[in-house]
Amino acid sequence: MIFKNVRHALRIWRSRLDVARRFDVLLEPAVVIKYPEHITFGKKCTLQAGAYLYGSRAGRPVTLADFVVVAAGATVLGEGGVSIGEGTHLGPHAVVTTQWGDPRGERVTDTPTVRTLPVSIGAGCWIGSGAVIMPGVVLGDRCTVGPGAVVFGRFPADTTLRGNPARAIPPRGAQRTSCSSEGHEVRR
Amino acid sequence: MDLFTRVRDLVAEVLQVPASSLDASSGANDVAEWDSLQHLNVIAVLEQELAVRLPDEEATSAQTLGELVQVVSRAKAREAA
Repeated sequence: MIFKNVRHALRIWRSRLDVARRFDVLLEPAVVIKYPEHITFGKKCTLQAGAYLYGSRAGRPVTLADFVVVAAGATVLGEGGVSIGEGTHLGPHAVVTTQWGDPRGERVTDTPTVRTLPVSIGAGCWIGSGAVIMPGVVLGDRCTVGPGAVVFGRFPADTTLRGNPARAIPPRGAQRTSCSSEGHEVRR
Repeated sequence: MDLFTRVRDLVAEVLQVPASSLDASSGANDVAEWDSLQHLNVIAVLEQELAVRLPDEEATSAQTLGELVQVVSRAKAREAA
């Protein structure tokens, strides 16, 4: 069993090396990258400590554009294909997943049936700590996802999402404002 | 059995709710068991049981049972064409 684990560790080390050679990406310690063959990075991307990036064995592209940050402990499961736009930031321990277990597939097996749907996250998005981006999600540019939100569905640019299930909240400009006794504007 | 009834019964089976509790307007907003993971399971089961491939965009955009039936109906029509 020890050799199996040594071989696995070697494969992961080689994947890191492969990515570091091919792309302008900063890999902090304990970053794990698996199946990098179809993963591409733009320039100046950062994978912080403990980030986990799983490419697609089926050959679907996993694309991180320029300046994408995958913060500490965040996970991208890219089997179904993932596109993350320029400057988007995945917060600590956020999860982007493109796969889920087939509800009628064989479960007690070492090769469970997995279904996939691609995920697309636009440019300039902020994905909060611990948020989960479910299979099939499409987020337009500049979306904001609150910490711990569970996002499912398709949302246009500039949407702010919070909660589980995540719901769009009105843009800040639409909120009512009033003046306090000190004359400061107060948002409600 | 018409398509609506077939889809409704499958959705009810996945969500483990009585089929009679679902109508065309039922969806994640008013059925507590209909969360994001169950929506994915609904898509998987509909594809298997009805032998149809549902387009990703339409399947994940459908918000209600009625919209899901329309997605299935359109997919079947495309595959039959």
